[in-house]
Amino acid sequence: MKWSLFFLIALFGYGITPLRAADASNPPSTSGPQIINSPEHFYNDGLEAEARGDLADASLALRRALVLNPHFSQAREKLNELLGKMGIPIQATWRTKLVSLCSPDFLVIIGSLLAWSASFLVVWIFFTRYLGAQESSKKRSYFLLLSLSFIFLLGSALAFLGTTLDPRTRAAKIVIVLPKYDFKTSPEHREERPATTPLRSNPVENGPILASIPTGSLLLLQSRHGVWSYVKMESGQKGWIATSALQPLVPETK
Amino acid sequence: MCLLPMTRYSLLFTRLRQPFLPLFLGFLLFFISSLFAASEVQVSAELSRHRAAAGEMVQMDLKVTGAQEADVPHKIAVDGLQINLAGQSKQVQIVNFAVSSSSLYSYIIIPLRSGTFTIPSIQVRADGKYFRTSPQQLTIEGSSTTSNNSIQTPLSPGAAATLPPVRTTPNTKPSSNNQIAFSELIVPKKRLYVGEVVPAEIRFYVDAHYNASPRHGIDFSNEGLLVERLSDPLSSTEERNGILYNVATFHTFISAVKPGPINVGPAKLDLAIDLPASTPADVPDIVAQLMGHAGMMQQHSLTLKSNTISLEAISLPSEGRPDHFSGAIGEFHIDAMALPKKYTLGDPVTLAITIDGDGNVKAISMPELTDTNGWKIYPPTDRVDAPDPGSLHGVKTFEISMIAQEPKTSTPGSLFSYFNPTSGKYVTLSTKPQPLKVIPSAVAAATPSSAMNAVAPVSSPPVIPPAPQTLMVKDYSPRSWQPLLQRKEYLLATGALFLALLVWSAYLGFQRYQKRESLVLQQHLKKMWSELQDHQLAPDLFYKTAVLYAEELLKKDPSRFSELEEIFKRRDEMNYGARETVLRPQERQKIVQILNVFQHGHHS
Repeated sequence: MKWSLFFLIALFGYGITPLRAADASNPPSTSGPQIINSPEHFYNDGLEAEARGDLADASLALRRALVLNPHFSQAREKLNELLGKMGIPIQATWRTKLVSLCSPDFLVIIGSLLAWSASFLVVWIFFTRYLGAQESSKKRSYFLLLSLSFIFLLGSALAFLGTTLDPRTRAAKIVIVLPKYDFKTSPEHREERPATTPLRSNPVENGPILASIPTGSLLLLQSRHGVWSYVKMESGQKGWIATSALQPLVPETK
Repeated sequence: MCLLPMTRYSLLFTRLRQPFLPLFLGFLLFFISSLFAASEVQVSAELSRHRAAAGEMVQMDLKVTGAQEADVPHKIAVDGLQINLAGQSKQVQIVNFAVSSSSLYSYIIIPLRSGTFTIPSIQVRADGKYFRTSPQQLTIEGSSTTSNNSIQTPLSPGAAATLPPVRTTPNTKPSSNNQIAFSELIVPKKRLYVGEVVPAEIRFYVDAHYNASPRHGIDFSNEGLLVERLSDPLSSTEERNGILYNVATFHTFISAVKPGPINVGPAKLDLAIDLPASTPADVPDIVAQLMGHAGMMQQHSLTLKSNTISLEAISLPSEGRPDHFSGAIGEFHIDAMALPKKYTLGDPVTLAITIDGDGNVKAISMPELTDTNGWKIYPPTDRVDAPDPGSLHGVKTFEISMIAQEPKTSTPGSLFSYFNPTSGKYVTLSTKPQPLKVIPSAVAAATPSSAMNAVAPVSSPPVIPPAPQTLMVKDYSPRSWQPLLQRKEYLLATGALFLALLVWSAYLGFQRYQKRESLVLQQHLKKMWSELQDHQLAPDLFYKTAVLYAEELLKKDPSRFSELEEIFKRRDEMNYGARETVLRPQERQKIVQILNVFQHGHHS
């Protein structure tokens, strides 16, 4: 028994250590064009973009910071402020509400620990206490096995919930409407992003316009076909939008 | 291969040559002579029907019998009818050895108006002589009024035939007057206010018997009017005066930009239409015959021009005009909703104001907000939902993002005014402030940039939070873009744990198997021991059991065989010796003692 417990703890130690090592393997750096996968880096990027008046770009950087760290309160406040300025409504989903209560990584680790502990205990009790036991003690072992199975299911559910809540799970499919700078729209010959980008029913330049999507809005990428992307709005409306007007939420050079 | 039939023909000819040759030659001569015998030339004209509806084509067949050649006119001029030669066919008949040939010349008659027409006798030159047909009467049913919107005949190929506008009174449907193509412009009102949106409908009718396609877009430019983009056409069919028309209907909205009389229209559309044409003179008859009527269609250009409607635009009354009136004309309802209902101070709240109704929905501007103190309001976004492109009905939604600068328990209200053209009065609508609830934020309270008074009671004096300080963060904490469950390290750890679980299960299972084996052995030994204790046990069975027991004991420690050797010797003596199989109690006890000493190392 003692040997078994030691073995179990050693295995968990093996499992958790590399996860932390992987986070730490990307050392912080404040120079160079390389994208640093840290929420603080994106937060700073957002502040810089806001300072130069590019609110849409700032909102993208802040959203990236919040994907990496959903509990980054400064980034959240700044993003809310920017979205308010841009006139984009903030829709709080059940995911964002739950994430604010509990860290997804914490849920995954606790869930995994519970599930694996329960698995090892089930095996041990089955072979040592349940098989060949007297009827009375067999019944007791049976209830113990049932309880451990429930704990296993609970742990698995927690790990699944943690993954579902994790904004990184869905981030790969999310794009932001960030059209390129337009020289024509501004009378002062200033570079400005167009305020809206048309969502079209067909992937052609003059296709019928379904909606005008404000710059900085979130869209769910369905598929990409060259210069056109098929996207879904938060309202559920689907249509085609120019790929050049989209920026992925997850930076392409991670 | 070909020799056989040739031989047959030669034989037949040889037979015929002798008694039947004169007879055969006589018949042949008679046949040829009757074929070329000059028959009497007859010329007749026949209509496929003598009554037809306006717009329907009628066929006239001109039959020339008994002539080898005939010269017929390609066009026949009759006022109100267009008659063109469309094709020719030839028939040869043999009746009682009398051969007659006839040529049929088909004319297509297109009625250009209704009425009773007399097609004059047609002069035909056949075999160098002139013949005339009898006159034919054709009645075209429909209105007898001649429309000035009809296609004028003849249409020279390639020439654009401009159709005069439909003779119609404003706001009423014009009569089709049995035309091949015409158009209508319909506006439901004659008097409208400046800025009022009025629907307009343009319909283009083309006789369903003809193929027509537009050459360019519709020209519907009007001075003093704002015209919205024409909708996509709706296709339908409609019967007018017994003629089936294909109808293309376009919807648009017009609004006057200045007071005074305004002429709407005409709407113009260039069409290419296929009409039957006469057979060109240089086309051989056989080619014309093969091509049939279809080959004789000719494309013509024509311009459809609708009627013009006179409207009167009047200014909006200045009496009773609210200060915040911004030009909405029609009949509307207003509604407001705030989301979320509970908010944390610093978080934005969206107030959605929906204006629903019939009128110039697109031109509606943002309603005036009331009681905006304590709110930081950002520019609104708006969208228009018009379910039916041909209807004035629409919904315009304004979404206003606002951030409370102090704990606010309700959103601002709104005021919206519009002018009702039916009643001729201004109407003002309002929405009440939407109730809200402020929720305290622990995270916001912990950070210096958050509103410190978020948890303060609503009754306390509002404290404007300090402007958020945006400071660069210098401490970096790198994170992965992949969720924990999808990362390689996690998957490896899970795999290792699963493998360990399998190995451990196998180890425990093997242990359990071994334990069960020894348990069975122990039970077996116990049973044998109790049998050895039994004094009633027969001597041969006693020694057999004792030897089995000794063998099991020796499996554990074979080096101590000498201690148990006596048991094996006694068993052998009993089995193979001449002694009687009698086992005294002392001997039985001694054997048991030997076994006991071996097991426990002491005397029992």
